[in-house]
Amino acid sequence: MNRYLKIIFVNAKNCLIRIMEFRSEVISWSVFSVFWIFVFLAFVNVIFGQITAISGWTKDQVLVLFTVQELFIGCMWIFILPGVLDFSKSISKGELDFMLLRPINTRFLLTFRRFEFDQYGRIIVTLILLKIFLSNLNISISLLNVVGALLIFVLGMFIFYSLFFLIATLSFWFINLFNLEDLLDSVVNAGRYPSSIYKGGLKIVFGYIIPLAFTATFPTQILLGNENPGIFISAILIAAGMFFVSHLFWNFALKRYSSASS
Amino acid sequence: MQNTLAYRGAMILWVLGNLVSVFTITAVWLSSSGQNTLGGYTRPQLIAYYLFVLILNWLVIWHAAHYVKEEIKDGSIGQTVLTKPISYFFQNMAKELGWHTVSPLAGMIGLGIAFFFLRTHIQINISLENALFLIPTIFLGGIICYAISLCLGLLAFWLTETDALHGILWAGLFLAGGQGIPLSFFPVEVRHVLEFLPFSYIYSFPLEIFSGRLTAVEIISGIIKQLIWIALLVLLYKFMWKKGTKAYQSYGG
Repeated sequence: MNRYLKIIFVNAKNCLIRIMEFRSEVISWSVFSVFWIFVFLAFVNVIFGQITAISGWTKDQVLVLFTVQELFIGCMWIFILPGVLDFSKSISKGELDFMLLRPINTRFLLTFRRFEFDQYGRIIVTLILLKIFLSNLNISISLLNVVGALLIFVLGMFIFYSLFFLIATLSFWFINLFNLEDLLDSVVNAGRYPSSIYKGGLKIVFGYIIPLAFTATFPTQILLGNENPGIFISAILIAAGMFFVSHLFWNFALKRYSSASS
Repeated sequence: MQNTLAYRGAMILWVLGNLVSVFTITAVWLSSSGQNTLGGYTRPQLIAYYLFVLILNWLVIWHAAHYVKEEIKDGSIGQTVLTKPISYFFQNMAKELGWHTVSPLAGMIGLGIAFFFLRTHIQINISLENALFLIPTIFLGGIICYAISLCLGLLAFWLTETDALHGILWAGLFLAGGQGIPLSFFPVEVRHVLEFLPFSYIYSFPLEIFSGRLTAVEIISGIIKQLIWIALLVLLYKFMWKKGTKAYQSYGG
């Protein structure tokens, strides 16, 4: 366990050193990601110039939901997506073979080998906006609500890590998925709206297969005091189930993998 | 085209991503409360609008900026400047023609799926005459998008990091171009400013023709504005290319 934690720490440190070396790149990406936050804020404001609510959620509530989603996206881009996207590319580049040879769990290595700390600007701005939008609602938020929301948030990240890792495993069959990032972005962005907008078949897809509610809707509901204790149990079960399925598929893919070299 | 067909997996992902986006925005409008018409569109008209956005995504989006930036960074643009007698403007366009030829075929599958599930929620108001205008306006919109992307890519002659700047195009299309939201949703004063920008002639203009919101005179006026934007952007490209290659050659010796 210590060894694994140490490896995470060393990789994180190296990634931090890297962003210090390429400061202009980091600054431009931070500005870019913050710029997009305000583009979407403008989008929400324009929409609410024409409507009064989305599935019963008022503008102020949607703005809180939106910032929680931005936090989710930011954290996914820092901790999860770089590893998943590199995993997909490592197959086509022939780098996976070398990782399989290393004396450590390969999935762990693929997941935690890279982090993108240049999203820090997005995180800071989003937290400031979240505070502003929460204060607009004039409700009191208890520490318990914050802890509960954080727990669901982290479990949501774990659920989507497993889901995205499963999708990236398809790279064993479809060698070049250069636009995997775009699909993952579309999926995560779909969680920008209250999950109750999805009905019928869409509810099955976005409620059960891709449980979007865990990206922003559930954490926001808990934060705003609309707790449902069942959510926590569901989150744990879904997180465990998703990880199990993604790991099964990973092992299945590995057995059928013909390497680039032999 | 061969390259494009080799990346079947990527094409599937692209269709899936588009489907996710269109189903999401449809769900938003169907669950929204408020007036019966939004920005002059009924909800069925709005859903048809986004289905047409799906079609435009295949036809008008170009990623010239990415290819140009890579060629400048790795130096292969030097060969282009020195050896090839074809204008770089058209050379670069040829690189993506394969994608633009094959992607509509894949996109049709996505459109078919979307149309099947949304067929009871759609209303389309377009006359045959206006439909004929769609072909030139989409074509010209695509040229505008390509020219903007190309010019953004040429910034790599002077800047080491340009990926973030390419976001100007995507943000412009999303918010100011009609891709994310019809321009009629904006207050009139803001709308007049947005219609002054080139982005609205890539998505919004063909979308308004598709939605039956423009007269023949307005359409012809819009086409003229598209041509003016193309002329301005080509002039900008020529200026940037001349200055950029001069600076690039002086670094190389």
